[in-house]
Amino acid sequence: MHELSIAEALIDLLRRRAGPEAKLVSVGVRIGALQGIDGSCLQFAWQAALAGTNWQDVRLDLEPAPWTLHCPACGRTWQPAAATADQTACPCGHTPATPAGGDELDLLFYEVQTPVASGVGEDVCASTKGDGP
Amino acid sequence: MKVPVVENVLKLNDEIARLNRRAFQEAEVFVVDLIGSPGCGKTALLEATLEHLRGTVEIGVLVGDPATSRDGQRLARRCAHVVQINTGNGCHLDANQIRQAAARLDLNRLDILFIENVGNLICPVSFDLGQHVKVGMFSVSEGDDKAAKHPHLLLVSSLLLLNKMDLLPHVNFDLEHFHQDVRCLNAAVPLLELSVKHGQIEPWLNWLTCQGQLQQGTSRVA
Ligand SMILES: Nc1nc2c(ncn2[C@@H]2O[C@H](COP(=O)(O)OP(=O)(O)OP(=O)(O)O)[C@@H](O)[C@H]2O)c(=O)[nH]1
Ligand SMILES: [Mg+2]
Ligand SMILES: [Zn+2]
Ligand SMILES: [Zn+2]
Repeated sequence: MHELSIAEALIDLLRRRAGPEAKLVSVGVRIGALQGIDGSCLQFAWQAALAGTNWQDVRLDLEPAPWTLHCPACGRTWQPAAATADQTACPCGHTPATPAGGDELDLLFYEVQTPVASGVGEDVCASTKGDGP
Repeated sequence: MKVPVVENVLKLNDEIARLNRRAFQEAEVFVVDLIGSPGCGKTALLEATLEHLRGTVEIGVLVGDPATSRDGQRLARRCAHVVQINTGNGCHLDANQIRQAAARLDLNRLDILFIENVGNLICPVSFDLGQHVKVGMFSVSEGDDKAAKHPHLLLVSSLLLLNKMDLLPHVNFDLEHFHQDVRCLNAAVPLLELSVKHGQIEPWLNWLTCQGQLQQGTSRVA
Protein backbone atom coordinates (compact mmCIF):
# COMPACT_ATOMS: atom_id res chain seq x y z
CA MET A 1 0.00 0.00 0.00
CA HIS A 2 2.84 2.32 0.86
CA GLU A 3 4.52 1.37 -2.40
CA LEU A 4 1.34 2.15 -4.31
CA SER A 5 1.25 5.70 -3.01
CA ILE A 6 4.93 6.09 -3.86
CA ALA A 7 4.25 4.83 -7.38
CA GLU A 8 1.35 7.26 -7.73
CA ALA A 9 3.46 10.17 -6.47
CA LEU A 10 6.15 9.20 -8.96
CA ILE A 11 3.66 9.11 -11.84
CA ASP A 12 2.31 12.53 -10.82
CA LEU A 13 5.80 13.93 -10.80
CA LEU A 14 6.59 12.44 -14.22
CA ARG A 15 3.39 13.81 -15.72
CA ARG A 16 4.55 17.23 -14.61
CA ARG A 17 8.19 16.91 -15.61
CA ALA A 18 7.92 14.93 -18.85
CA GLY A 19 4.33 15.73 -19.84
CA PRO A 20 1.47 13.20 -19.87
CA GLU A 21 2.03 12.30 -23.55
CA ALA A 22 5.80 11.79 -23.32
CA LYS A 23 6.98 8.56 -24.93
CA LEU A 24 8.76 7.19 -21.90
CA VAL A 25 11.01 4.16 -22.09
CA SER A 26 12.35 3.97 -18.57
CA VAL A 27 12.45 5.85 -15.30
CA GLY A 28 15.23 5.82 -12.71
CA VAL A 29 14.59 6.15 -8.98
CA ARG A 30 16.98 6.08 -6.04
CA ILE A 31 15.60 4.54 -2.85
CA GLY A 32 17.35 4.89 0.48
CA ALA A 33 17.35 1.89 2.81
CA LEU A 34 15.68 3.93 5.56
CA GLN A 35 12.58 4.52 3.45
CA GLY A 36 11.27 1.04 4.14
CA ILE A 37 10.31 0.55 0.51
CA ASP A 38 10.39 -2.96 -0.90
CA GLY A 39 11.72 -2.99 -4.47
CA SER A 40 9.53 -5.78 -5.80
CA CYS A 41 6.43 -4.27 -4.16
CA LEU A 42 7.21 -0.97 -5.84
CA GLN A 43 7.66 -2.70 -9.21
CA PHE A 44 4.31 -4.39 -8.73
CA ALA A 45 2.62 -1.13 -7.70
CA TRP A 46 4.18 0.66 -10.68
CA GLN A 47 2.76 -1.90 -13.10
CA ALA A 48 -0.63 -1.88 -11.39
CA ALA A 49 -0.85 1.91 -11.47
CA LEU A 50 0.09 2.14 -15.16
CA ALA A 51 -1.81 -0.86 -16.54
CA GLY A 52 -3.90 0.18 -19.55
CA THR A 53 -2.27 3.61 -19.89
CA ASN A 54 0.18 4.95 -22.46
CA TRP A 55 2.98 4.28 -19.97
CA GLN A 56 2.18 0.66 -19.23
CA ASP A 57 5.44 -0.64 -20.73
CA VAL A 58 7.70 1.92 -19.09
CA ARG A 59 10.54 0.22 -17.19
CA LEU A 60 11.27 1.23 -13.62
CA ASP A 61 14.99 1.13 -12.74
CA LEU A 62 15.58 1.13 -9.01
CA GLU A 63 18.89 2.16 -7.53
CA PRO A 64 19.19 1.26 -3.86
CA ALA A 65 21.07 3.67 -1.62
CA PRO A 66 22.48 2.10 1.56
CA TRP A 67 22.05 3.54 4.97
CA THR A 68 25.20 5.54 5.66
CA LEU A 69 26.62 6.92 8.89
CA HIS A 70 29.34 9.46 9.43
CA CYS A 71 31.40 10.00 12.55
CA PRO A 72 31.96 13.71 13.12
CA ALA A 73 34.87 12.97 15.48
CA CYS A 74 37.15 10.85 13.28
CA GLY A 75 35.62 11.35 9.85
CA ARG A 76 34.89 7.67 9.27
CA THR A 77 31.93 6.89 6.98
CA TRP A 78 30.35 3.44 6.89
CA GLN A 79 27.21 1.55 5.99
CA PRO A 80 25.65 -0.41 8.84
CA ALA A 81 23.48 -3.38 8.01
CA ALA A 82 21.40 -3.05 11.16
CA ALA A 83 20.50 -0.54 13.82
CA THR A 84 22.40 -2.32 16.56
CA ALA A 85 24.97 -0.79 18.89
CA ASP A 86 27.89 -2.69 17.36
CA GLN A 87 27.05 -1.31 13.92
CA THR A 88 25.99 2.25 14.62
CA ALA A 89 28.78 3.14 17.06
CA CYS A 90 32.13 4.30 15.73
CA PRO A 91 35.18 2.33 16.94
CA CYS A 92 36.81 5.66 17.87
CA GLY A 93 34.41 5.76 20.81
CA HIS A 94 32.43 8.76 19.67
CA THR A 95 28.77 7.73 19.59
CA PRO A 96 26.48 8.06 17.93
CA ALA A 97 27.35 8.86 14.39
CA THR A 98 25.19 11.16 12.30
CA PRO A 99 23.17 9.85 9.36
CA ALA A 100 24.78 10.74 6.03
CA GLY A 101 22.53 8.96 3.57
CA GLY A 102 19.86 6.33 3.23
CA ASP A 103 16.75 8.52 3.38
CA GLU A 104 16.74 9.29 -0.36
CA LEU A 105 13.61 8.89 -2.44
CA ASP A 106 14.54 10.62 -5.66
CA LEU A 107 13.53 10.54 -9.28
CA LEU A 108 16.94 10.41 -10.99
CA PHE A 109 16.07 10.47 -14.68
CA TYR A 110 13.50 9.54 -17.27
CA GLU A 111 14.33 8.17 -20.67
CA VAL A 112 12.25 9.14 -23.70
CA GLN A 113 12.15 7.49 -27.12
CA THR A 114 14.64 9.17 -29.41
CA PRO A 115 12.56 10.75 -32.20
CA VAL A 116 13.17 9.06 -35.59
CA ALA A 117 14.53 11.32 -38.33
CA SER A 118 11.67 10.75 -40.81
CA GLY A 119 9.42 12.95 -38.68
CA VAL A 120 6.07 11.70 -39.98
CA GLY A 121 2.88 11.57 -37.97
CA GLU A 122 4.23 12.18 -34.47
CA ASP A 123 1.37 14.45 -33.44
CA VAL A 124 -1.35 12.39 -35.08
CA CYS A 125 -0.29 9.28 -33.19
CA ALA A 126 -0.20 11.06 -29.86
CA SER A 127 -3.67 12.52 -30.24
CA THR A 128 -5.34 9.22 -31.10
CA LYS A 129 -4.16 7.58 -27.90
CA GLY A 130 -6.84 7.57 -25.23
CA ASP A 131 -6.20 7.61 -21.50
CA GLY A 132 -8.32 4.53 -20.93
CA PRO A 133 -11.52 4.44 -18.87
CA MET B 1 17.48 10.00 -24.64
CA LYS B 2 17.92 10.23 -20.87
CA VAL B 3 16.70 13.34 -19.12
CA PRO B 4 18.36 13.80 -15.72
CA VAL B 5 16.07 15.12 -12.99
CA VAL B 6 17.06 14.36 -9.37
CA GLU B 7 13.94 15.46 -7.59
CA ASN B 8 12.27 14.02 -4.52
CA VAL B 9 9.43 11.70 -5.49
CA LEU B 10 7.31 13.20 -2.72
CA LYS B 11 7.93 16.75 -3.95
CA LEU B 12 4.21 17.41 -4.45
CA ASN B 13 3.45 16.21 -0.95
CA ASP B 14 6.23 18.40 0.41
CA GLU B 15 4.88 21.44 -1.42
CA ILE B 16 1.47 21.02 0.20
CA ALA B 17 3.16 20.36 3.54
CA ARG B 18 4.88 23.72 3.19
CA LEU B 19 1.49 25.41 2.71
CA ASN B 20 0.17 23.60 5.77
CA ARG B 21 3.18 24.70 7.80
CA ARG B 22 2.62 28.31 6.83
CA ALA B 23 -1.08 28.10 7.75
CA PHE B 24 -0.19 26.54 11.13
CA GLN B 25 2.40 29.22 11.80
CA GLU B 26 0.03 32.04 10.90
CA ALA B 27 -2.63 30.61 13.22
CA GLU B 28 0.04 30.12 15.92
CA VAL B 29 -0.98 26.53 16.50
CA PHE B 30 1.59 23.95 17.59
CA VAL B 31 1.20 20.80 15.50
CA VAL B 32 2.26 17.32 16.63
CA ASP B 33 2.28 14.30 14.29
CA LEU B 34 1.88 11.23 16.52
CA ILE B 35 3.28 8.07 14.92
CA GLY B 36 3.09 4.60 16.46
CA SER B 37 2.12 1.03 15.71
CA PRO B 38 -1.53 -0.10 15.83
CA GLY B 39 -2.77 -0.23 19.40
CA CYS B 40 0.25 1.36 21.12
CA GLY B 41 -2.14 3.80 22.82
CA LYS B 42 -2.19 6.89 20.60
CA THR B 43 -5.90 7.60 21.01
CA ALA B 44 -5.77 6.74 24.72
CA LEU B 45 -2.92 9.23 25.17
CA LEU B 46 -4.84 11.96 23.39
CA GLU B 47 -7.97 11.23 25.43
CA ALA B 48 -5.99 11.55 28.66
CA THR B 49 -4.24 14.69 27.39
CA LEU B 50 -7.57 16.33 26.53
CA GLU B 51 -8.82 15.44 29.99
CA HIS B 52 -5.80 16.99 31.70
CA LEU B 53 -5.57 20.15 29.64
CA ARG B 54 -9.29 20.90 29.58
CA GLY B 55 -9.88 24.59 30.13
CA THR B 56 -6.20 25.55 29.88
CA VAL B 57 -5.44 25.19 26.18
CA GLU B 58 -7.64 24.75 23.14
CA ILE B 59 -6.89 21.48 21.36
CA GLY B 60 -7.84 20.10 17.95
CA VAL B 61 -7.31 16.56 16.67
CA LEU B 62 -7.08 15.14 13.17
CA VAL B 63 -7.23 11.38 13.44
CA GLY B 64 -6.35 8.99 10.64
CA ASP B 65 -7.54 5.39 10.42
CA PRO B 66 -7.98 3.05 7.46
CA ALA B 67 -11.65 2.65 8.34
CA THR B 68 -14.30 3.54 10.97
CA SER B 69 -14.75 6.74 12.94
CA ARG B 70 -14.35 5.00 16.28
CA ASP B 71 -11.27 6.92 17.36
CA GLY B 72 -12.87 10.15 16.16
CA GLN B 73 -15.93 9.40 18.27
CA ARG B 74 -13.81 8.58 21.34
CA LEU B 75 -11.99 11.88 21.00
CA ALA B 76 -15.11 13.90 20.21
CA ARG B 77 -16.44 13.08 23.67
CA ARG B 78 -13.64 15.21 25.09
CA CYS B 79 -12.96 17.68 22.31
CA ALA B 80 -15.09 19.88 20.07
CA HIS B 81 -12.51 20.11 17.26
CA VAL B 82 -12.06 16.59 15.91
CA VAL B 83 -11.87 15.52 12.28
CA GLN B 84 -11.71 11.82 11.41
CA ILE B 85 -9.82 10.99 8.23
CA ASN B 86 -10.41 7.58 6.66
CA THR B 87 -7.54 6.54 4.43
CA GLY B 88 -9.17 3.45 2.90
CA ASN B 89 -6.24 1.46 1.56
CA GLY B 90 -3.76 4.13 2.59
CA CYS B 91 -1.34 3.20 5.35
CA HIS B 92 -0.32 6.78 6.22
CA LEU B 93 -1.60 10.34 6.13
CA ASP B 94 -0.36 12.72 3.46
CA ALA B 95 -0.13 16.50 3.40
CA ASN B 96 -3.17 16.90 1.19
CA GLN B 97 -5.41 14.94 3.54
CA ILE B 98 -4.21 17.17 6.37
CA ARG B 99 -4.83 20.29 4.32
CA GLN B 100 -8.42 19.26 3.62
CA ALA B 101 -9.13 18.11 7.16
CA ALA B 102 -7.54 21.19 8.76
CA ALA B 103 -9.75 23.39 6.59
CA ARG B 104 -12.71 22.07 8.57
CA LEU B 105 -11.31 23.49 11.80
CA ASP B 106 -10.92 27.08 12.93
CA LEU B 107 -7.14 26.96 13.39
CA ASN B 108 -7.06 30.43 14.87
CA ARG B 109 -8.94 29.17 17.92
CA LEU B 110 -6.48 26.36 18.58
CA ASP B 111 -3.27 26.27 20.60
CA ILE B 112 -2.32 22.67 19.82
CA LEU B 113 -3.31 20.44 16.92
CA PHE B 114 -2.62 16.72 17.28
CA ILE B 115 -2.46 14.53 14.23
CA GLU B 116 -2.94 10.86 15.12
CA ASN B 117 -1.35 9.11 12.19
CA VAL B 118 -2.42 5.70 10.90
CA GLY B 119 -0.99 2.93 13.10
CA ASN B 120 2.26 2.19 11.23
CA LEU B 121 5.93 2.78 12.04
CA ILE B 122 7.20 2.96 8.45
CA CYS B 123 5.74 5.27 5.85
CA PRO B 124 4.22 8.02 8.05
CA VAL B 125 7.87 8.91 8.66
CA SER B 126 8.42 9.80 4.99
CA PHE B 127 5.43 12.08 4.60
CA ASP B 128 5.86 15.64 5.78
CA LEU B 129 2.45 16.95 6.89
CA GLY B 130 3.56 20.45 7.82
CA GLN B 131 3.80 19.50 11.51
CA HIS B 132 6.23 21.15 13.92
CA VAL B 133 7.33 17.84 15.42
CA LYS B 134 6.96 14.15 14.80
CA VAL B 135 6.57 12.06 17.95
CA GLY B 136 7.31 8.33 17.82
CA MET B 137 5.30 6.13 20.18
CA PHE B 138 6.06 2.55 21.23
CA SER B 139 4.58 0.28 23.87
CA VAL B 140 6.28 -2.46 25.86
CA SER B 141 3.89 -5.15 24.63
CA GLU B 142 5.29 -4.79 21.09
CA GLY B 143 8.73 -6.06 22.06
CA ASP B 144 11.99 -4.29 22.83
CA ASP B 145 13.37 -4.54 19.28
CA LYS B 146 10.96 -2.08 17.67
CA ALA B 147 13.19 0.98 18.02
CA ALA B 148 16.13 -0.79 16.38
CA LYS B 149 13.93 -2.07 13.57
CA HIS B 150 12.64 1.37 12.66
CA PRO B 151 15.71 3.60 12.44
CA HIS B 152 14.07 6.20 10.21
CA LEU B 153 11.39 6.96 12.80
CA LEU B 154 14.07 7.23 15.50
CA LEU B 155 16.05 9.68 13.39
CA VAL B 156 13.20 12.07 12.58
CA SER B 157 11.38 12.04 15.93
CA SER B 158 11.66 15.03 18.23
CA LEU B 159 10.33 12.94 21.09
CA LEU B 160 9.86 9.24 21.80
CA LEU B 161 7.22 7.75 24.06
CA LEU B 162 7.24 4.29 25.56
CA ASN B 163 3.75 3.38 26.76
CA LYS B 164 2.15 0.57 28.78
CA MET B 165 4.91 0.61 31.39
CA ASP B 166 2.39 -1.07 33.74
CA LEU B 167 2.71 -4.23 31.60
CA LEU B 168 6.48 -4.42 32.03
CA PRO B 169 6.34 -7.23 34.65
CA HIS B 170 4.19 -9.34 32.35
CA VAL B 171 6.07 -9.11 29.08
CA ASN B 172 9.57 -9.90 27.85
CA PHE B 173 10.85 -6.39 27.42
CA ASP B 174 14.45 -5.50 28.21
CA LEU B 175 14.18 -1.83 29.08
CA GLU B 176 17.95 -1.32 29.13
CA HIS B 177 18.30 -2.89 25.69
CA PHE B 178 15.56 -0.64 24.32
CA HIS B 179 17.25 2.48 25.73
CA GLN B 180 20.58 1.36 24.29
CA ASP B 181 19.07 0.90 20.81
CA VAL B 182 17.47 4.33 20.99
CA ARG B 183 20.76 5.97 22.01
CA CYS B 184 22.64 4.25 19.18
CA LEU B 185 20.38 5.92 16.69
CA ASN B 186 19.58 9.23 18.29
CA ALA B 187 21.66 10.44 21.22
CA ALA B 188 19.64 13.56 21.87
CA VAL B 189 15.97 12.60 21.56
CA PRO B 190 14.05 12.60 24.87
CA LEU B 191 12.45 9.26 25.72
CA LEU B 192 9.51 9.36 28.12
CA GLU B 193 7.98 6.33 29.82
CA LEU B 194 4.21 6.44 30.28
CA SER B 195 1.36 4.36 31.50
CA VAL B 196 -1.59 6.03 29.90
CA LYS B 197 -4.00 3.51 31.36
CA HIS B 198 -3.04 4.57 34.86
CA GLY B 199 -2.95 8.25 34.09
CA GLN B 200 0.84 8.40 34.27
CA ILE B 201 1.50 10.97 31.58
CA GLU B 202 3.08 13.88 33.51
CA PRO B 203 6.41 13.85 31.62
CA TRP B 204 4.48 14.12 28.35
CA LEU B 205 2.34 16.99 29.65
CA ASN B 206 5.46 18.80 30.83
CA TRP B 207 7.17 18.33 27.49
CA LEU B 208 4.06 19.59 25.71
CA THR B 209 3.85 22.68 27.88
CA CYS B 210 7.52 23.49 27.25
CA GLN B 211 7.18 22.98 23.51
CA GLY B 212 4.06 25.11 23.32
CA GLN B 213 5.84 27.93 25.11
CA LEU B 214 8.97 27.62 22.98
CA GLN B 215 6.87 27.65 19.86
CA GLN B 216 4.94 30.74 20.90
CA GLY B 217 8.22 32.41 21.80
CA THR B 218 9.73 31.77 18.39
CA SER B 219 6.64 32.74 16.42
CA ARG B 220 6.50 36.04 18.29
CA VAL B 221 10.13 36.74 17.51
CA ALA B 222 9.75 35.79 13.84
N1 LIG C 1 -2.10 -1.87 29.91
C1 LIG C 1 -2.19 -0.75 29.24
N2 LIG C 1 -3.03 -0.66 28.20
C2 LIG C 1 -3.10 0.50 27.52
C3 LIG C 1 -2.30 1.62 27.87
N3 LIG C 1 -2.57 2.62 27.01
C4 LIG C 1 -3.49 2.15 26.15
N4 LIG C 1 -3.82 0.87 26.45
C5 LIG C 1 -4.79 0.00 25.77
O1 LIG C 1 -4.28 -0.33 24.48
C6 LIG C 1 -5.39 -0.53 23.58
C7 LIG C 1 -5.20 0.31 22.33
O2 LIG C 1 -5.28 1.67 22.66
P1 LIG C 1 -5.63 2.80 21.58
O3 LIG C 1 -5.54 4.12 22.27
O4 LIG C 1 -6.87 2.48 20.86
O5 LIG C 1 -4.40 2.59 20.58
P2 LIG C 1 -4.09 3.35 19.21
O6 LIG C 1 -2.61 3.48 19.13
O7 LIG C 1 -4.88 4.59 19.10
O8 LIG C 1 -4.59 2.28 18.15
P3 LIG C 1 -4.93 2.50 16.58
O9 LIG C 1 -5.54 3.84 16.42
O10 LIG C 1 -5.86 1.39 16.25
O11 LIG C 1 -3.62 2.35 15.87
C8 LIG C 1 -6.64 -0.15 24.35
O12 LIG C 1 -7.26 -1.33 24.80
C9 LIG C 1 -6.11 0.68 25.49
O13 LIG C 1 -6.92 0.61 26.64
C10 LIG C 1 -1.43 1.50 29.01
O14 LIG C 1 -0.71 2.42 29.40
N5 LIG C 1 -1.40 0.29 29.62
MG1 LIG D 1 -6.18 5.25 17.63
ZN1 LIG E 1 1.88 4.29 3.80
ZN1 LIG F 1 34.76 7.95 14.88
